[in-house]
Amino acid sequence: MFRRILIANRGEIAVRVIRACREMGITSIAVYSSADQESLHASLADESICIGPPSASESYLHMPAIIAAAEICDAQAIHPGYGFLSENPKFASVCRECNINFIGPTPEALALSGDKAACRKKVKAAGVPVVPGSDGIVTDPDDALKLAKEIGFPLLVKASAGGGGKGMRLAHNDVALKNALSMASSEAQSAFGDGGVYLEKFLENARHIEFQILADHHGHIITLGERECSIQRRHQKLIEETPSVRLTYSLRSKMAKAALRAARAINYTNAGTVEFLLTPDNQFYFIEFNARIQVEHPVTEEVTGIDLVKEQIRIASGEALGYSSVAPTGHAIEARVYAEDPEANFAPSPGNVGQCHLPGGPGIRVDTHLFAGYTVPRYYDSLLAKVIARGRNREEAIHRLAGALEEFATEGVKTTARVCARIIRSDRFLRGDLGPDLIEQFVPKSR
Amino acid sequence: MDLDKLQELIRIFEASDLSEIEIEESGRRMRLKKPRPVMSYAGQMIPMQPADARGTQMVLHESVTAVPASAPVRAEKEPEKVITIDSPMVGVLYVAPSPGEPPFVHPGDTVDEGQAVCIVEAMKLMNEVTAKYPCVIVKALVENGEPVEFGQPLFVVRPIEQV
Repeated sequence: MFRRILIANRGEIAVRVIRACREMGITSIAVYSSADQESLHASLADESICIGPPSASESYLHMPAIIAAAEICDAQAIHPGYGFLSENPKFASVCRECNINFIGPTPEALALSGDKAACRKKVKAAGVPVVPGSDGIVTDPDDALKLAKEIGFPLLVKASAGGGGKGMRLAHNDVALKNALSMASSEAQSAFGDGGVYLEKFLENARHIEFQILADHHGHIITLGERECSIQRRHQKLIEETPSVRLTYSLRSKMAKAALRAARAINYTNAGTVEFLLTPDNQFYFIEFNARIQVEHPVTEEVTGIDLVKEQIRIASGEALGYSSVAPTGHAIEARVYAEDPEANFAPSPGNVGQCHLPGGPGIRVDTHLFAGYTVPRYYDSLLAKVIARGRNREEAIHRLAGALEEFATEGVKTTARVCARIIRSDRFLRGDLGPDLIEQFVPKSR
Repeated sequence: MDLDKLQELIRIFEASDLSEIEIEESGRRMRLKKPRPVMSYAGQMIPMQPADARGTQMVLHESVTAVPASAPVRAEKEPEKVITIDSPMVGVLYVAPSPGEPPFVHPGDTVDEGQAVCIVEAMKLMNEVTAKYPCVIVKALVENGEPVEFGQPLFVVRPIEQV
């Protein structure tokens, strides 16, 4: 087992990893930018080291700074968290060259999961249904139009190197498709340095269901069940839950098997997530692989009792999984609390938090880096906290979570806690009708 | 207390867990204080106020009443503000271009704007640290081969006024 782990991240996920290290008797080393000097992860870790100025590209994304920090602190492994360098195959291979263990998949698996067009091909070849679309990158508009005739509109043009909704365009006809191709491609070029785009049929009213995977280096691979993440805003997840009310026992086991096949197809190791779209007529399609610990991982932890971050560390150190199945019980829902102002079209709301109150009570878990007096820097992601409720059933989890979100209070910054509470208390959410349009009723019109 | 001694004291103070220190020496009193995280009711570390770059505030004041009558009326020259060259990155500091070669600078040397004063190595890349303005190197704060953080002071310098 590792003795010293460097955490190449900030915010709540860095705090989460530090806690796992502490539990396992591992020395945690935090890295921070000069904007995060007063942050919780920097003060909570056993050791901390300043790696650069506020700009992420010069600190949390700057490989030489992180590797140098790992070397001078004698870290044996790096936990990348999510975002930043977590899915960067170059970083994983630099770690390997420097004899530092990257807590995540291999650089090869990362490269494949990051190339969405290539990943789609590989997964399709393994017999997993993928959303109807192009086999790989589309460059010629005439090829795109031909394909559009075959599979029909509406079509999504997606960046192969993409994520977070960037380089994505929806087209309903030939003219729009031509425009969407060039726009998505140039957007992808500027955002990811790779203009490759591919086509996918746009599935209306599809639900977003993902499966958590754990795979060790001894050939064992298991799934820990699904998470439903249909409540999204601007391709950003807001509320996640497990189990999904949409899945029957047989559909769940079919999707779980497909998820395992997809993970095997790209030789995946460590913790990862296979994302599917599920149509109203119960057809499911692979969309992409998330090769990292995910923001919404706590809901799976709450129903399975398995600590995914500890499992990541165990697997990376070479230990075998040691179990072949898990039996989830109860229901868990997570709401993400962002430092954003719902009244101002969800504009980021950085600043000093002042006094704050975090909810508690039975079945409530709050993963956050927030404390009274904390100043939310304007340089990074606005995720402030995750409030997770566990209940014996969905109804209990809903009421616990709604109550907890209504309790959540910060003085100086605006948050999305109340909006999430209203969504969760709505009749539609209670019924489990989580269509993509649900959120629109709760988002105040921008001024 | 001379400048070297004062700098040494600041360094020791920085590295210590002390939040405040007051020293009285031949009628001159000096207090060093840093903003410290205080314990909240929950026992959690709560920083009360944003610290400046290195977390130290210098409070210097002459205690007039304590000065003996026999002391020279002329006050000693104003204690100079400590100006430093800080590390632009995290890495390992080297004082010379390569092992065996003489160091880039010695205390007392005058350096020009843009002149290299040391190297910080990160991922086998040697990054030269240069002076941003003409200055005199007063003191080196980090030994050869020591790890340094981003923003860590490396040299105390005295800028040379441009005429």
